[in-house]
Amino acid sequence: MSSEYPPTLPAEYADIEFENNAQRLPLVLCLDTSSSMAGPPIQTLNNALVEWTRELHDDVSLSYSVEVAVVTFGGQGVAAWRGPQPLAPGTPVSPFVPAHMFRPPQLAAAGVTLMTEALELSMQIVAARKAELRASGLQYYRPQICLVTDGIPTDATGHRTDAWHRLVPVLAEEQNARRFRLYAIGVGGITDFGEQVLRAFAPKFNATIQGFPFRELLQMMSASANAEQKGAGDEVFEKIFSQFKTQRPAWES
Amino acid sequence: MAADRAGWRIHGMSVEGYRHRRDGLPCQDACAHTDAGPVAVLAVADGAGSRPRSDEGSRLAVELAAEHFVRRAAAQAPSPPGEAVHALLVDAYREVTKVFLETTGASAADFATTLTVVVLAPDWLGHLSVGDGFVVLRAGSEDGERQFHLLPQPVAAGEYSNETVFLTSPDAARWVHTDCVADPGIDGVLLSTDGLAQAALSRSGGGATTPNASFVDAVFRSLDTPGPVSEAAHDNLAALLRSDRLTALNADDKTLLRAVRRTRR
Repeated sequence: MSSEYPPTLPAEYADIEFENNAQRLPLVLCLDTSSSMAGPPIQTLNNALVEWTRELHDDVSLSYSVEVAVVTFGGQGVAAWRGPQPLAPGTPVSPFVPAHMFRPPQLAAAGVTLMTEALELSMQIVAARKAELRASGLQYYRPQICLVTDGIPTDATGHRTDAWHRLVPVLAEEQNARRFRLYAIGVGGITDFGEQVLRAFAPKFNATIQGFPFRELLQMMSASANAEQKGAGDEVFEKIFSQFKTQRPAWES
Repeated sequence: MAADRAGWRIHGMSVEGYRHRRDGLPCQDACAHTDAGPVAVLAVADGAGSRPRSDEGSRLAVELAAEHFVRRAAAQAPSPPGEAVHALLVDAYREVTKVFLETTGASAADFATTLTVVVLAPDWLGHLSVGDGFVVLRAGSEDGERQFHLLPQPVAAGEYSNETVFLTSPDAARWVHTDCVADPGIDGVLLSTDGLAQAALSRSGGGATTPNASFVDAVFRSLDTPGPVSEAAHDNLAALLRSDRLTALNADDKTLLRAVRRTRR
């Protein structure tokens, strides 16, 4: 949505020099790009990212505040993306891009589901970004991590693994300490076991959604970012999330 | 609102932010000022975004602050400044809180708001703040450049920028911050809520927070023009506060209340 506000400053204030010091809201999209997402699902995701990016650019209240990083798990392992560019592992470059400059990656689906490692990478980049923001004197809101998967955690050979158990107490502690909000969303043909994993990761904010409603999912993340900026209470986030969970097309109910 | 008494020309406003305007919600910021004899009082407040009646809360807080602080300061403005000023500020704050809590009753938390007050007395400036409002002074010049000073703020309430302390917080009294400044060179005072923190303050380099000189200089300068504040000057300030440029930095409600000396001493 565009602002209705006057775009230009009155002449007597035109010479004010502003710093780019908006309060930041780091947002990580932690996306499953394993082989089960191949075909229409990954295409739907790519299209949704393009449309969401356009909306984000147009939202005056989010475009200079939200910073987007993408983490994918698929192919041979996990990857962090800086906008459309995958970053080499261990690179010191931050994957976070201000929303007004963000361009979405073109994702392809293949390979295994290193969900545990992807979440660990997401937590690492959030902690590193907070440290950078503090060092540069910038204020920030509680970051958001959105995990999206249609599968179950596997090892690098594609076999189901229990390694994800090690994450459960870590995530519980991190969420309890309010270091970030974690949303865990199961899509497509996710199994009961897959749902169980998401419930363990994000006891409050987990959902299983029919099909691949990535547009609605990304809009929910924007709504949540808005609520965060407003300083809304937890009940507001729960309401936003439950609206997202129940907005199934009429033919399903 | 504008006034031209007690030796100061005072003008300011609260405007709803982009998000409230988009969602059809009222402005939750408020500001007020008053004077009695040689004393002027300025107050700004920021109602909590998460509370249903915080727009009423901020309005009530600034009205009570104007009334109680000016009454105490005009009755017994301490001189010389010092401990007595801190005591006066805290006493007036207690009165404000008492009436605020009596008025709002059991649902006081629904009216949660910050409060920042400045008392301008002939020999001193008193500042009291609970929450994340801030005050910038204009005093003196160096090499022909006007100098601006940010008064110390209460310590941050938490890691995140949307966490703060409210008048209604159970332990608010612990977080109240007071200052007393005695400097006859002060000829400009600006109060604001956190909606302008990014525009008016500079945090570059991780060092101390300082005023953004180009911003505060411009908003003081526009009030230096002698005589009453023109409608155009008022509208220009509103346009500045509502501009996309400021919204991009912070989409919250914005308040700017400023005072300049009518005649330099």
